Amino acid sequence: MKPRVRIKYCGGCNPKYDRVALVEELKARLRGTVAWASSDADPCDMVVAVQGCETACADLTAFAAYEIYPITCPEDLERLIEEMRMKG
Amino acid sequence: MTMMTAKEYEESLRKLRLQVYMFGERIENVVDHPIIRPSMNAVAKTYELAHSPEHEDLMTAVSHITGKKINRFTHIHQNVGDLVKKSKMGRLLGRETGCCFQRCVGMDTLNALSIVTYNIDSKYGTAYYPRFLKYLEYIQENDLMVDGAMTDPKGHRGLAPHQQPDPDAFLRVVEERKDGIVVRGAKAHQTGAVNSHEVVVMPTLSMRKEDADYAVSFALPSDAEGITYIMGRQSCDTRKLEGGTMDQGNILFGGHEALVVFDNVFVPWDRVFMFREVDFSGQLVETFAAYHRQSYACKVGVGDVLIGAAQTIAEYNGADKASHIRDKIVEMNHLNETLYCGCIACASEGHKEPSGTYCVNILLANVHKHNVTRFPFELSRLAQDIAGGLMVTLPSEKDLRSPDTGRWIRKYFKANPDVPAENRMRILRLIENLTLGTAAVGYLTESIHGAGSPQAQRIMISRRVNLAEKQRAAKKLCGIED
Ligand SMILES: Cc1cc2nc3c(=O)[nH]c(=O)nc-3n(C[C@H](O)[C@H](O)[C@H](O)COP(=O)(O)OP(=O)(O)OC[C@H]3O[C@@H](n4cnc5c(N)ncnc54)[C@H](O)[C@@H]3O)c2cc1C
Repeated sequence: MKPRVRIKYCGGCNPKYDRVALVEELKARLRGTVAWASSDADPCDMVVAVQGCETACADLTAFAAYEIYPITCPEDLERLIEEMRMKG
Repeated sequence: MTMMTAKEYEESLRKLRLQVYMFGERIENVVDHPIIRPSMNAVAKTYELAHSPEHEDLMTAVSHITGKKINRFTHIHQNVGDLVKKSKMGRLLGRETGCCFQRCVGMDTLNALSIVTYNIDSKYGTAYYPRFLKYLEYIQENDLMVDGAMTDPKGHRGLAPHQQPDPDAFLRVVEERKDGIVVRGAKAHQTGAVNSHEVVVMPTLSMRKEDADYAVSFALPSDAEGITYIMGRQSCDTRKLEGGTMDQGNILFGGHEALVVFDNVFVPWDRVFMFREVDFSGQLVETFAAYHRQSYACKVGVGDVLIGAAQTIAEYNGADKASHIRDKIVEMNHLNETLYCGCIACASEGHKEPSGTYCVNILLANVHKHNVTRFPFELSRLAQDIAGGLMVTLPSEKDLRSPDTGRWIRKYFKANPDVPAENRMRILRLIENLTLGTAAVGYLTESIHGAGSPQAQRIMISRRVNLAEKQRAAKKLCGIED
């Protein structure tokens, strides 16, 4: 079974990069490797926390039980994809 | 319902029966009026972003009364984190809309009332707080937009309300009935008034015994009988009537203000939150003002847009590599981020009030707003410096489109060969809009007077600062013993 991944964004008050474009790239490059959970109610195995900057203020309390992969800059993407491919 | 979408918000406005006047005529279709619609779009953004995964972390909260997910604009701050998110939300929306999105004033009113109604009850044994909570639940459940109405026309500035030649210069109670009260007066400069479902009135200043009839706070549906709206003009407003897609600068969003007249309007008791408790009128004014001074976080977001526009025009002009231009962009960022420091600091240093509501640090909120009365002007000066004079001498979009003149405009207003003249014109129009046009109402003059004129902040700073402690520190270091 493919791992189910939930995307959780910070609020985006002053992001240093285009978070939505980064997530689109992530989804495109992991197509077929993972499944995406679409809402809070949807069960998932891990959470990608897309933080617009290193303050990383997204509220992750609802995801305390899950493995969390933080992204705070575009450079984090390659590392994340590598790790996800290993899981998938 | 709990959280409306932008579409549902727009549809909800269509059901209101507001009495709105502009240019001497009654406006029947307020929502689609070309001068008003951009302001509706800006408020709609507060609804839209609450449903977007990439912004909901800031735009939503959990209600402390129902436990439901709600739009943050209807939330009562429950901790310092909520206050910080409010500041960040202001920056986000300022940047997304490039103008005043009008919904903060209602949020600040609700939060101030959540503190003051509780305090009045504690002193007088009244029941305003439970009444307020019931009203709040109605606002949260229906995700309503609230106009926070504080500023009276005020008549002669040197006279108290009861001394005014026209007693209606400040809004007042003119009749007390078994089922409620009747009020008369007006509120000036009301931001987003005709985009609101509700209007919540507060006194404009600290009242004395003789002014008891003026110490009143209450809520009304915005289309209650006897309420009339007279739209304020904004510089360059009629460009929105020209039907083009460029000369208004910001082609999507805007703000509005209105004079709201209350002509003998009935308010039932269950919507009255202060009635002649003169000793709490000052507390309500100060608490609201503190929250609202924090709300000028939005100007940081608008500043982001102005800085982005200044950098863009520098590149379009081919001047972006010049060291003084680069330095001016650095200075703009320095000013803008200094403003950000203030709104984050007053939130981070917030505290819990007896009602449980978290309030900002009042001194720091006033310092923040005081900076806002100045920095956007310097930011605007720098943007205009970088933009060049074309910003104010540019021909119209119609001239650009005209077969007779368009080719000259495209030829002579091209600067950087990689950039079409039209793009250069568009970014210049945006800078014009922010620093001289409709958006300057919010970015500049509102930055001075909104939430109180500069002197109001200086008075609060002098009251709140711990001067004696500073003297003690100084005297200790140089060996003075009093
Ligand atoms: C764009 C905009 C949006 C606004 N939105 C809202 C809103 O949504 N809701 C709301 O309630 N209000 C709103 N306001 C009103 C704002 O709070 C007032 O403009 C502000 O309190 C100043 O009041 P005023 O405009 O009557 O100016 P004035 O009070 O006339 O002030 C003009 C000058 O006179 C000085 N002055 C005034 N009275 C005295 C006195 N007694 N002694 C000494 N000096 C004095 C002031 O310090 C200032 O320098 C808005 C204002 C603007 C410009």
